[in-house]
Amino acid sequence: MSASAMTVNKRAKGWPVSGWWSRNQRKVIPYIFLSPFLLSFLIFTVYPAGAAFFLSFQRVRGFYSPEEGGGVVLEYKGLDNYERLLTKDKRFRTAIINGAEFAAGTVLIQMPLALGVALLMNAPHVRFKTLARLAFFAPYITSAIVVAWIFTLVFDERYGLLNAVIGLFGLESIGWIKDKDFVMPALIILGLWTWVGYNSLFFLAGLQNVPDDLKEAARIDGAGTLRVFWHITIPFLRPVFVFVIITGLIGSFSLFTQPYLLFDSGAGPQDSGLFPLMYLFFMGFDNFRMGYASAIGYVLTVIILLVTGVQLLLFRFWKV
Amino acid sequence: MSDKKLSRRDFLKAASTALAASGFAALPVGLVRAQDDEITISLWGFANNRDEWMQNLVEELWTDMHPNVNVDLSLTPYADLWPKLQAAFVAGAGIPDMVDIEISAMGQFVRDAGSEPYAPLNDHIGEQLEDLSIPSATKPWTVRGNIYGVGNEVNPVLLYYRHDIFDELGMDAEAPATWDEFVNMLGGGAMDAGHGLFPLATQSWADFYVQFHQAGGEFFDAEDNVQVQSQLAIDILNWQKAQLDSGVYIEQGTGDAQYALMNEAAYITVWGAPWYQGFMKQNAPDLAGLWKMRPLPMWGDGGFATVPRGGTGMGITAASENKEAAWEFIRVCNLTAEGSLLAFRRMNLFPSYKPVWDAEELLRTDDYFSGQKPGEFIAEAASAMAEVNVSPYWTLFVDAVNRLIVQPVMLDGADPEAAIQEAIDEFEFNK
Amino acid sequence: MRKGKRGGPLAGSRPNLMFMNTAVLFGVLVSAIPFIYMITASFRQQGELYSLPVTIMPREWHGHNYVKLFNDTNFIIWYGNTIFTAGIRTVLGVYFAALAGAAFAKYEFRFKRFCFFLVLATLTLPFHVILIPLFLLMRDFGWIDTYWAVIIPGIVGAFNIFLMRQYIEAVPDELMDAARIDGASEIGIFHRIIIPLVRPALGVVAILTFVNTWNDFLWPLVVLHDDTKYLLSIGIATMDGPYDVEIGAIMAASFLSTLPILIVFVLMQRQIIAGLTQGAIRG
Repeated sequence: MSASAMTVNKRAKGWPVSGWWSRNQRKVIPYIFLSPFLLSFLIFTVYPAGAAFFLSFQRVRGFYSPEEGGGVVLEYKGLDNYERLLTKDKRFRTAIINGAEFAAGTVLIQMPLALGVALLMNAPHVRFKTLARLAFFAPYITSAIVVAWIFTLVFDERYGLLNAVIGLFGLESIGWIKDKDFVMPALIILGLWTWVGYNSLFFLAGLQNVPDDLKEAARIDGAGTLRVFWHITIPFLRPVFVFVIITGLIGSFSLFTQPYLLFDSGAGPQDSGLFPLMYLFFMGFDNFRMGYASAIGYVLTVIILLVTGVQLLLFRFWKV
Repeated sequence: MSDKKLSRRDFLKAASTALAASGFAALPVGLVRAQDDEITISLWGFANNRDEWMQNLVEELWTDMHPNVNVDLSLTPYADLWPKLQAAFVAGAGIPDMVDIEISAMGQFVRDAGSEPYAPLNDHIGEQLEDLSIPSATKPWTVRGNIYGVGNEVNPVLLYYRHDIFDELGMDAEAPATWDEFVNMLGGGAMDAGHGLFPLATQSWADFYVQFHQAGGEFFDAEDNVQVQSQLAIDILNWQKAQLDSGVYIEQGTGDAQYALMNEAAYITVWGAPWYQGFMKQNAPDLAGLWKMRPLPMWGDGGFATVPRGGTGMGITAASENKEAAWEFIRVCNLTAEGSLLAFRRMNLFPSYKPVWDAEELLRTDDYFSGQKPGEFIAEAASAMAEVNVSPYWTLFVDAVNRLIVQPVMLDGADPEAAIQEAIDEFEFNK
Repeated sequence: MRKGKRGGPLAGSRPNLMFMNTAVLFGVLVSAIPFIYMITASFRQQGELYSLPVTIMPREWHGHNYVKLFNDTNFIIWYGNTIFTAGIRTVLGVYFAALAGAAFAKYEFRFKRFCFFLVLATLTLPFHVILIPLFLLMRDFGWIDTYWAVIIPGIVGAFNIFLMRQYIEAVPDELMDAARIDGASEIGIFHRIIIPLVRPALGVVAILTFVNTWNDFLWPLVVLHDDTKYLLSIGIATMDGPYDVEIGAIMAASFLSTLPILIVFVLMQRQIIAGLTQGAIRG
């Protein structure tokens, strides 16, 4: 580190600056550094998001012709879209419940599994670590479209890999993506396959950060392995839990591509695979209710922020 | 230091050249003028086989006829063509001249009268309408009397059966005139031998609609009112459910799995439009010579001999600046002997353009169907085919039928009447 | 072997170790099999995937799916387009994310907390909501059917900024102050101190950006009209036609399209994992 610092200093000498700029650049520079982000954020996110917010109070009634400059014919509906969505729309409720179920599966099954995998990978003398890391990361970098295709094959009732495997144990074939009661388990399995390995990498990094002498000291004080794990390791993993759970929750409620493709651009049998973003998509595009779709988007954003906020609060109470 | 700067500048220069060369320059879509009198018309499609047909047509016919009109065909994944189109329509920019409009994607853009993004083709078609098989060629793309698309193929549903297995069972598949007779004759014997009779789509509206429509039912009347709340719909649902429960109908696998079932003779009859014959040949080549076809059995009283199923029509967008050239392309594709026969050769689709119906090549025998002449069956069925009222709300309603009628009734044994009511309630709510 | 290295509740005696090795192998198998299934599916005859018994390996190896892919589709063009756009987006995206990360990590300015909240809020807004308004913007910019529309709008990723901030925070302030005393400009400090020290993070952000661009679907599909400009993800999806699905060719395309990312990952494994997880640890 010190060697590189030396070279850095030497090079830095060749850049003398003076005057107003040299006195004020530290105040100005963050804005310059931020400007690409702020610019693109304002233009490509805030502006369209504002337009969508405006749209969420309208009903779209057809198109203007290109000679008229394009665009859609709007009819102001006040809070109608929101009222309809929050009080009357059964499918939206289904979508939120499905999202919550998937999120529960993510937190309750995926997290412990990921932690378990990380513990294995962190144990001394365990072999195949390099291979394992590659295998665990591969699903994450595989495009969701490809994942959906692979799992269409895996989940097929008669010719699928999964039923062939459970058949080895003498179990009956299951209509994984056909039977509405098995759709959520199937999606959770797909989620496990995609994200357990990825999340375990975070836990692994966290585990490697737990100071050994702390555990050693506890052990000398007579604490058993489990006690050390519970009272020292787990608290040290707190930030990892925060990160993994928060991103997992956001991901669960924003699930789109995998179920959308798995169910052939549909919502699965009797809406068992309907997620909020899919519903937004169906309403805004298949049903041409773009205003309503915008309202769905905003309600969904608020829900995600609330859930995330609650999680953060919970974690605040969990002190080391 | 100066070396470095130079090389960096060189790099930037090279990079910017590469940028310019690789599509960064904004080109106005659909109107690339190479010479003054040369124009390009564009078409967005979603089906590989139609894309091939049109490419062939451009090479073999079009370029000689209209050397100064280029045709730019582009292929988009099926489900995603519609959002893409919607974005273009909303923006009033980047709209293609023509669109391949799949039958169930007709509706959502033409709900509001006066702002339809497609151009009516009625005047273009004019008297040639008489040359077309209306139920297949124009009716599915007709809204409020305006024709927004022309479909190239007739698609009457026919019945295909495994004559080898029927012979083994000692039964005559040609004899029964009605569905009940057919099912009763076949019921026991075939199932004892380990075969189901029909594959039934239990996840989607399609097979329910075939039988419901054939019996005289409709999803919509001409004023876009839903027509399913009828005793007929309930009867058909109950009938199909009973066949499913007794094993006469078996659940159709999804995707390619249905052909695996076909190859295993898990079912020995299947209905399908002429395009389905191509699927059979492609996915069950080993069953060549074991199939025959016949007209659909009838429902006892009333109803139709057959119904149309599927289809894609070519339409012109209201925004197109080359409507005449676009129409000429659609005409050559669908309203000429050469174009429609080329479609037959490339896709094995029987043309909706009637003047060619007695063309020799359409009436050839087909070894896959045991030496029968599919063309004769198709032409005859097409002349007695039901028409479909495609409402602008078709997609929305059909989606509700899938989830709230067919799936609950067929898979969970839900009460048809209540299921129908729920679908209608949701439909009215979302309309 | 230091005793203290034995971590967690899973420290091992021999049979225990065997169990653990088996468990790891099992995990590898479960993770890898669908992937392997994809690869072997690409070498099968049409229809074999839907036949019994289900097998992992093809009954006979066939290369015709690959022949079909290269002869009948624009696969190579799509590949080139994807590398091109993903490459540019990655280079620019990493640089901008590093700039913003440095601002959040090392400088004080007004509305800093608010700006950072904005970054995080971006993560929760569903893209589908802004799809149409964004498309209208592209029209006004004249960017429809150009790669500008694919590359520019999402160029500064929130997650990337977040990661870069975590990293750059670890750069010692003393180093930066020393350079300042020597008269270095802030921009010079960024390029000559911060950037070299966070190289692993740059690698991570690069691969994440690359993967995201590589897998991006809906937006490029909506803005790119000319099918010779298509990216891999869209091109492959067009092969999934409503009237004819060539599942073998699709699997071949999927496999070939995932390959480069996998190779990059193998080459940069250590760096990527170290970098990826850094953000999470400091929370």
